[in-house]
Order: sequence, then C-alpha cells, then structure tokens
Amino acid sequence: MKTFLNTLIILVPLCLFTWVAWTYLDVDGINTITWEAEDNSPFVHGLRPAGRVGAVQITEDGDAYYSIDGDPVYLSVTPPGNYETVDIRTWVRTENQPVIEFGATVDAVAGQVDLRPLVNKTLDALNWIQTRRDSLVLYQRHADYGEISDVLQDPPPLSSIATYHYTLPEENSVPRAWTGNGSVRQTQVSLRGFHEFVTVTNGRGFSIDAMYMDMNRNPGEDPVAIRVFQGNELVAEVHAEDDGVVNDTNAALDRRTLHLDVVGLRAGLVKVELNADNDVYWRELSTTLPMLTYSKNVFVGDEVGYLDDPRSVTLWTDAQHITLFTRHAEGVQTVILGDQQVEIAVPHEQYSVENQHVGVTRLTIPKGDLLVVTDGRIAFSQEAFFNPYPVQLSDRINLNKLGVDTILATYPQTTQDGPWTVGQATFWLPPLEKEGGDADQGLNDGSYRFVLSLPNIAERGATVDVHKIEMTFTRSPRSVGDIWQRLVEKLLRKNT
Amino acid sequence: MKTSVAKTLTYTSLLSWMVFVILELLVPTMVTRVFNPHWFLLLFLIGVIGWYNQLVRK
Repeated sequence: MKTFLNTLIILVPLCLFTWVAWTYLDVDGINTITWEAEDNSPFVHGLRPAGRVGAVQITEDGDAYYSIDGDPVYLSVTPPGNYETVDIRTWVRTENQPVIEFGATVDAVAGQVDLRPLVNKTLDALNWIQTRRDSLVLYQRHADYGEISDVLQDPPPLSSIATYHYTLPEENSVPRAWTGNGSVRQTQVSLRGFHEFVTVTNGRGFSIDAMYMDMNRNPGEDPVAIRVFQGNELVAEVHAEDDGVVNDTNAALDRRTLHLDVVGLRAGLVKVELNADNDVYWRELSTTLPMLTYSKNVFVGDEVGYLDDPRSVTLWTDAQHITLFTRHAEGVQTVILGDQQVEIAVPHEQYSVENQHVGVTRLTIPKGDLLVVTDGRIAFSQEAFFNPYPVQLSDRINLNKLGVDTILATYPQTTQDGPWTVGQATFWLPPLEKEGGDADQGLNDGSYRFVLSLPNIAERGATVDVHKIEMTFTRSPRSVGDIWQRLVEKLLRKNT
Repeated sequence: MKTSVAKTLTYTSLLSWMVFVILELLVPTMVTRVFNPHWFLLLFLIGVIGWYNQLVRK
C-alpha cells in the first residue's frame, strides 16, 4: 500500500508536467481559450474602461454577465502562443442596440481598427428572402434575383441597394452618364485641413488645380500634398513644403496653387486626397471632370485673413444623419437643411439633425465656419453631386424610408444559446498590433487589443450584456520533427 | 526500510512546486493555463505536518 501511494505521489506531477508540455507545444495547432464574466483568465484581461462596464450580474439560469452602456469597450488578450488566426465567438444579449461589432486594433496611433460584424438586429429582424453563401448574405424584399452572382452582374440602382461590410464591385455599378465631359470649379467655399473626394472618369486623364493658404494658426510646419488613387493604387501626387513660418503668427504670407495632371487612368472612380493640417485652407479647387463629391465630412473654414466678411455656403448631401459643430462664436448661426432649421447656438457643442427628406438635400450655412459630419456624401453644386456607392447599412438606417429592397452583407450566421445570441468573427493575426510587449521577449509578452463597438449606444440609452467570449487560435499543425527543429533553433539563438 | 508517504509527499511536492513556478516565470501562462502550481505548496504543508507527526510518535 505504501509503495502504491509513493508511486502515485511521484506519478501525479510527472503526468501534470506531460500535460503542461503537451498543451504548450500544441501539436494540432488549435488552442481554445474561454472567458466568462467574473473569470480571472491568464489570457483575457477583462472589459475596459470600467466606466462603460457595469458590475457583474447573474441571470436566473446562473449565467454571469457584464452590462455595457458605452462605446467602445476594449478587451486585451494575451495569445497562448504564436498563431495565425483567431475565431472569436461572443455570447451577447441586447434589447435595443441594433448593431454590435467586434474589432481588432491594427494601428492604435492612427486609430485603425479592423471591425467585423458580430450581431446585427436589423438584419436578424428582416423577414425578407435570404440567400447565404458562406458569410455573404443576400437579403431581398422581393424575389428579383436567384443567386448572389446575379446581383453582382446586374445590380439594382445604387439608391435601392444597401451593403454591410461588403464592397460592391464598381465595374457594373458606375453609370456611363457620370463619365461625360464637363468640369467642376469650386470657388465659393474655404475648406480647412484634410479632405477627400471622389470623381469618375471614362479613362481620360484630368487635371486638378487647388489654391490654398497657410494661415499659421498653430505651431509647426504645414506641408501640403494632393494624392490621387484608383482602387488602392497611388496614380499621381504633388507636394509643397511649408511656407517657412513655423510659429503660430496668424500670418498668411501668400496664396499658393498646386497643379496636378493625372494620366494613365482606367474607366471608373478616382479618389483624391487633399492632405494638409488644420492650418491650411483650400480656397479654390477645380478639376476637369464633371462630378465631384466629398466623403462624409467637410470642414467649412472661416474667411478671416481672406475675405472681409463671412459668406454663405450651400452644399448638397444625401446624408440622413448630420452632425454640426463650430469652434468660434462667429460660427453661431441658423443652418437650413431642406426646410428644417438647425440652431447652432453655442460653440464647441455638437448639433445632430436627422434629414426628413430622402435624396439630395440642400444644406445652407449662412456664415460658414462649421464642421459638417454626415453619413452620406457632399458636393458644393447639385450638378457635381453623385453617389457611386450603395447605401451603407448603419445602426440608424431606415430601410423603408430609403426605399432599399436589396441588401448584400458579410454577416456570419449567429446562433442562439438560451437567452444569448452567439456572434462570431475571424481575424488574421499577423497584421494586428500588439501592446505592452517586448519584442526581445517574443510574442508571449504582447497583447492584442480587441474592441467591442456599439455605435450610438449611449445616445439611445441601450445596454448590451456580455456573458462569454471564446477564442480559438489556430496555426498549421506541428510534427515531432518541427518541434525538435524549433527547440534547436531557439537554443542556438540564445547561445549566439 | 521503505520511505514514508509523508516524506515522499514533502519532497515531491516541494520539488514540483519549484519546477512549475520556474517554468511559469520563464514562459508566462505555460503552467497556469493548465493548473495553479501553488496546489503543490498545500501538498507540501500536508506532507510536512504528516512527517512531523511521524517523527514525534517515534
């Protein structure tokens, strides 16, 4: 008996050691870690910040959960080794938050987050005809298309199709009428800082002339550049150095013009970036293409140092939700959107307005000096306005109001586990940024920073309950030979 | 003479605790993802008490 007990006492740690080594080596290349609310996990370091995450609560079934009422919420995760992908399943519950997305930080400084759909209650609630091909889903109000490929080959008008985490191929969606002759000359507005617009060509080259002023209101250099992209390819660019004034003198030395000839294009959309910081005011802009719309945001600058008096600015937008903001007392004014009046009463306060009209609406800004943030596109003349993109399915969308009949969405199938909706998202790990790690110490010391995005949750007073997160890390399997080779490599590296 | 169970438990658990804690320090989460090595400290204490009782009885 004594011998048996002695042997058992020695065998237990040996078995545990084998188990630890086997788990660490992870021969099959699949490692699943699970975190539940209230757990202390060596890998998942809880939801932050504490101000947006309530105290732990327990359901009638005994499930622990955290209630979230702010956006975004971060989740720091130390991976259990070097892996290539992670498949994340999240158990959530919400009554009134339509969109829940899971993101991974790619570049924290640039604010670049790779967001993926997790739970979309708008899509879940649709009783339209659904056609699924893996994660890509086609929703139709009427049975107009048999297959997803039919929509891609012959898409409906862009105003009646919405997309969600999916980019519609532009070849079949850009009407030829947009690519005719004409030009845009934009002289009635001063735009401040970085701006981005799209135009469209039938393949012919075009030129851009931009007159700008460096107002030197903040310290530092103010270089300027115009970059032209087609697809993701940079096709043309022009730079200009700072005017030599690096102090905040408020001195505008001169009016400068950047000229850029763009050639070698193919038919389709062209994206143009006006790169500059907020000291630079774009006073005039002209292109030799007929269409020009800005992406979502424009910063209508003041005219101090350029004109004697502020001037009225008219823009055209198809946005449904618009946020207005001014920094100066001179920017206090009454803005007119269609036939709605919006009182900008106090500087440094955001004013949100929902457009009661569908389609292109006129927005009049009597005194300029206003940051305009929209969920649509913006032009400074009705003739130049075009929207080459389908409707974006956002958390505030009203499909009936917009007349949307077709939706193409990348949306992995959700499942139900009791009261919990289980959404899933997969990330390719190498491009993701790790924080808190020491490169010399290897990957184990760094953590990925994931994000739970709950758009406008605080505004609508909604909550999202999070019960459990399961992460399955995968890489290619390892043979005993692979493990031996890696071990030798590590030992050699340490000795050199 | 055969080694007593308490003595084996004392030595084995102390040695195991040291090995697993060193492993955990060298490669964080390597051990704690499977189990908490401090259980061996508890076993060590139990072993020490058992061993002490044996010595007192002799």
